[in-house]
Parts: sequence; C-alpha cells; structure tokens
Amino acid sequence: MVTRQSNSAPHNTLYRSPEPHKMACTKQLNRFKQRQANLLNFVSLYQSLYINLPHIRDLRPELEDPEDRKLWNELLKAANTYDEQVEMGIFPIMTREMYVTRNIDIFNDYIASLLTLIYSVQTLSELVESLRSDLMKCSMLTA
Amino acid sequence: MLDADSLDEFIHSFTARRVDQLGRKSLSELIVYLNERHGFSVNTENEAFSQSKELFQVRHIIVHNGRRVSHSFLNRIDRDDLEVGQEFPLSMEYVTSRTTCLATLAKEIDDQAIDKFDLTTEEEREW
Repeated sequence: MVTRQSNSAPHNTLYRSPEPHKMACTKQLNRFKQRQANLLNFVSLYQSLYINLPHIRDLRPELEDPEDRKLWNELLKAANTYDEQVEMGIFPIMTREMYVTRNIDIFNDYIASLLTLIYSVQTLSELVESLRSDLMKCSMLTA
Repeated sequence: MLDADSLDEFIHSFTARRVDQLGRKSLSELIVYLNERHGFSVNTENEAFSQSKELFQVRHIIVHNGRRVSHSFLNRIDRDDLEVGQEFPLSMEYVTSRTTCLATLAKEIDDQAIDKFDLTTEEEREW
C-alpha cells in the first residue's frame, strides 16, 4: 500500500532507502485486511454450520459400502463434537476472543511499521531534536 | 546508542528504540502523537475511533482479566450498561462491527500517511 516516490526527498533530508520499511508497512496492512476478510469468512462458515447441523444429523443415508458408512459416522461424530462445543459456548467465545486479540495485535504491528516508515523519512534536524529531548531527560535524571 | 559504529547504525538503533517506546502508548496517545508531531488530522470524534478505543480495552480485559469488566475498564470507555465483575458480552456481531471500525481507522491513518509523506500506493506504482 505505502511506497515512497523516488524523487520526493528534500535536499536537506537525511534520506535513506525506505524500501524495507515501506514493504513491512505494506505487508502489515495487507495482513490486517486479510484477517478482516478471514473473520467475515469465519462468521459465514460458523453461521452456515450452526444452522445446518440439525439437518445433517437427521440424514439417514443408505450407504452400502462399509468405508462410506465409516466416513459418514466420523463426519457425524465430528459434527456432534462441534455442536457440543457450540452449546457449551466454549468454541465461539474462544474464537471471538482470538479474533479480537489477533486483530489488535496486527493493528499494532501495522502502526509500528508506519512509525518506522515515518522515522525513515524524517530530516536529520528532526532526529537531532528528538535526540535532544532524550538527552534533556537523561540530564534531569542525573542532576 | 553511543556505541554505534556509523550514523546509519545510530539512526537504526534510535528508530527502533523510539518505535518501541511509542508501541507502549495507548491508542489515544498514539493518535495524539501522529496528529501533533507529524501533522496528521486523524479524527478522534467519530465512531471508528471510539469503537476502536473500546476494542483495545476489551482486548486488555480478555488478556489480563479473564474477559471480566474492571473498574479501570469502565473508567476508560463510555458504557453505562456494564458492571464490574461481569463477563464482557462478546457477540459475533460485536466482534465483526468493531474490527470493521479498526480497519476503517487503519485506512484513515494509511491515507493520511500517503498524503503527508508524498507516498504512492501499490496500485499507482503498478502503472
């Protein structure tokens, strides 16, 4: 998403290649957007499975092949296990918590990448100014 | 930092340290930093910001308080329908709508970074 124009650095700017930073920034934002899409996909899948589970359980397919019957029973067992987790509320709550925390973590990664990008395009005078405030704090601490 | 062998190494070290410091700030403090220090104008009066701020606090009680509402949680958000000690009601609708607000805020910040630092987008670069 974010890239720097090659000829935009002011003359007095301490200009270093922002390539690693801008790529990190872009990557993080894209990850963030992908997670958003995954969340919506998950909600859709969850709702679909939850709505259709009773119908799946009521099905009595006439399966002659033992392997097919075995496969069907395994599928039914998995569906029942999933249903128990849904009824107990464990599965959906854990998933919701996971998505909240993961989205925030990814957002924080994005902000960190953005801040790194910002510092990579700062002028030397701005960096010196920031450094001076740090030194002031140090001198106050040691006074 | 004074052990750096070159200016580039010094700047790299300085940047890493400063970003680490900023990473410990709250969402509100980060936005204030971007607005005041770098001339951004991220809106803190809209729903995207207020809901994102709440989501950060929800994340905090999930990680540190077993999803139970605390006094500090109530002090930091504008909700009068919750009580200390109760589990935060985390519906799928809530998660979906708030994370969408977070994406909206991320896009607003990204758009302003592009304007502020004269950046191009990946789409533009392809042309």
